[in-house]
Amino acid sequence: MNTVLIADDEPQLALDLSRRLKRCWNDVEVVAVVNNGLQAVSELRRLNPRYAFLDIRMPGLNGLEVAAVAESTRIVFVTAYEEYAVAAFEASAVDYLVKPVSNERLAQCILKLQQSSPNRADLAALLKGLEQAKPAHLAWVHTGAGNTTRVLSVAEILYFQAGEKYTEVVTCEGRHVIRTSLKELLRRLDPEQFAQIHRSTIVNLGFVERLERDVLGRSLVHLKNHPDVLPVGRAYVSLFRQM
Amino acid sequence: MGPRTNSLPILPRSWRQGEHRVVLLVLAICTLAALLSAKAHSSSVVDELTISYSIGLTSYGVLQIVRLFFRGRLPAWGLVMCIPAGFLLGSKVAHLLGAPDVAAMMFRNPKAMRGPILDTLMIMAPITAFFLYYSHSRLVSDELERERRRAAEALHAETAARLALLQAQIEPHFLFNTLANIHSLIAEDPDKAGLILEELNAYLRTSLRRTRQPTSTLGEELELIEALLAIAAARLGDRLEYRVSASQELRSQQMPPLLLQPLVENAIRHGIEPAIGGGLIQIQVSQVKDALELTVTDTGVGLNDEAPQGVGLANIRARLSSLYGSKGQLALYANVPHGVIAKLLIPIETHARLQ
Repeated sequence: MNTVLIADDEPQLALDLSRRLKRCWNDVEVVAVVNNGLQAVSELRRLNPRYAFLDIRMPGLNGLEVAAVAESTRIVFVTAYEEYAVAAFEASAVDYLVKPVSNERLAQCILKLQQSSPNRADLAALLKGLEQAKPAHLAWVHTGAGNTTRVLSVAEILYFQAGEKYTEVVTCEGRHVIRTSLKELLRRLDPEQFAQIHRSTIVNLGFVERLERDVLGRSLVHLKNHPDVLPVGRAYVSLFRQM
Repeated sequence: MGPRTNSLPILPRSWRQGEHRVVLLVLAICTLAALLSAKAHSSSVVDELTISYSIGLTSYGVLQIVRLFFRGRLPAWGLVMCIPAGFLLGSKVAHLLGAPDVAAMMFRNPKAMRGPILDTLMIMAPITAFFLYYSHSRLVSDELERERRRAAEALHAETAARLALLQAQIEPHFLFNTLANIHSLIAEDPDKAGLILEELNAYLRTSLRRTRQPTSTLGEELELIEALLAIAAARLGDRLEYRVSASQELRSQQMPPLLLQPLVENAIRHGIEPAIGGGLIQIQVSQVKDALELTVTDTGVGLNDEAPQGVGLANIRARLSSLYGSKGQLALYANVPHGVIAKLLIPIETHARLQ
């Protein structure tokens, strides 16, 4: 018996796939239909089905992560995201289906599953590639003010200014305070987007209007749409000028 | 400089940032003025230096204190006011240090002091004038340049938004996912398939109409968003719940497209879709003074470090600033216990400008 697990966070699509598999595959048994990655993993472990049809974007764990814990189950990815699917296919040599899946394409897939030898795909490599593709840089800064937590996208931050105990975060419409040190921020911010220009300042390069030297030879950074003028520390001038 | 000055919070931040060079310049000018004055009036060099340094440094100090009040940006008249104040205070300080009290001498006998004061002015005036002229001419040319760039950027933001709007019409994942759902329902549940098809129809019709108009109304925007939410709810099953509330009179308000919609799309895509248990999306519109306040609240997974940086948000901010300057605002908050609250503030009275 060809046992199958189906995981898709859109329940209607999961049910539909289950029905269509039964219709065009004689000896198939759909043993589980689940709607998120965590359930998919636990059902995979419990039932150890021969095949799994996995959506890639799912809550809990995504399809690629689920595939990595499958031991002998052979994986078919089903996704509306061709860019994912192509990468998955190349890396793992399993089949992939792009939604909406036509009956013809589904039949082809079943044929492929029946004919191919049950080689394990190199999912470890696939997962590694996926992790590298994840955004490694800081994207959101949480800052508390009383009972509310304001969430700042790093793209709206003009600059960070280190204070005695806190770090000040300056945006177009105000100033906020966080506890993260400049050193820690530097480690986590995208160096393509942020640069340190002073011992106590990290500026968002996207908001730099121009670099100016005043009569005394000090370098100053002027910002777009904001009156603040930031001095450039002497040690940082040469670094900054190359940009 | 260094940690010692850091522990003196009274000093302006600029002290820690290379202001010492200004002090050195002041001292150099004072030395020059004192030596010239001593030679011209054959007076004591020590006295002249004491007076000169006292006045120079006191003026500088007064200037720094005044600058604090103007948050670092001193208007020209403030600069002019600092000079007599610095002169009076400085000469008192010099007197305390044992030099003759020049201020008192000037008040007692203005005629006798006319010569030295004129000398000082003749040295100081060209130097001051040079600095003022230098910074002013720079300001003017910079202002022009900046204005030109700002106009170009506003145009660019508007063009980018139009392009994004065109792209949003045919956002392939949304369209294909929706079609896949309709396809899957046709045989089993034709009524439901028909309902989703109607919503898709409404969505496409409204968004196509919108590409031909520069502005839209809040009502039209909400129509589009309700269709979007209905489709998403059909796709996600019982994982998505939504509520839209706006009074009838507000619905006729003019409102530029592509400000609210991306926030709702984010709430679906980055809030509810990744949440195993799903959640609720609420859209509320109210009038706050002269502005529309649009709030999109979701109870999804929230903006943790895993959440990708939103390109959509950057587009919204660029559009807000090109349309309304600092009057249009977008702020994100963390919802409790999880999720995101996005607040959009748009001024009402300036909507006519959009035409």
